[in-house]
Amino acid sequence: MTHKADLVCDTAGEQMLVRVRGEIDHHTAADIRNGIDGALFEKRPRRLIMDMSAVTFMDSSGLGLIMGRLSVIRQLGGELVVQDPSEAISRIITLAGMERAIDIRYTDGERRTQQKTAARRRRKASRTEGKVAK
Amino acid sequence: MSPRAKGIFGGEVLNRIQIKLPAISVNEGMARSAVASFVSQLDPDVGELADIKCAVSEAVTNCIVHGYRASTGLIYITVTLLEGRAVKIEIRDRGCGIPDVRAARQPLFTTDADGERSGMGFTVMESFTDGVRVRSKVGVGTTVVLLKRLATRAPL
Repeated sequence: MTHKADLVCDTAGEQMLVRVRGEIDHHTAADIRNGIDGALFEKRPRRLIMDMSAVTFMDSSGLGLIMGRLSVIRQLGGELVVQDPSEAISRIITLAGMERAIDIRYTDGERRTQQKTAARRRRKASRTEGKVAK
Repeated sequence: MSPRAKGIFGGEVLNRIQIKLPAISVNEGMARSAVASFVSQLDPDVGELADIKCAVSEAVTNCIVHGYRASTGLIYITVTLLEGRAVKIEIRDRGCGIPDVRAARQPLFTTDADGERSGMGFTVMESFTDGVRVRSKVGVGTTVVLLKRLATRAPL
């Protein structure tokens, strides 16, 4: 069994699409970070899209990875989009309250509505439990 | 945790596994997969298994990043399956220990801001399980106990 992650960067005009694949944890995050940042500083896009549809696992190291890329792209004067996170990934993003800071988009409209509803329900539940991170 | 939950985690032991592995980052994936594989005999649903993997990954990463920091050592994991579909996962290191456990458990708390740590590890553990206990002593080590109660599955 392997626990690996890799990424493919596609730059078209001012937009860079990064497809992350595999498991994001503390072990794999460093290589993903170096891969994305290398491409970012070389191409200097206006928009970085992190496609998460092929990410099969993510823990809080992934939150650090996303927030770190947000910080880098902002330094370059650009913006970050997190695209197609799975239910489990959007859950952990919501837990950290990060959905307020980052632009999350779904290429499949129907799934987006379902996940937004689920996220709202979770936020409500976590507020009740007093567990939501400020 | 409610008294009822405590009772469930004090039930009869059905099965147990102990895993001892070096605190190196490549073992984060190994540890969560091994625990998930063992818990699978209780037939958890996909969401429960994902929660357990994530919580274990957080605890094991803490041992590596914080407990042992620049040093190396071993991580000791004990997974106990209890009557009533209860799972108890103990993750122990012999690292530096946590001076203030209460502060460490706060969301966004991190002692490693340069390393892009989100400070959400304990929050994730608490949210994805039914109980988290932390025992720590500076210079001796830290033990995190994760408690998870699996939902009752309807018979096929």
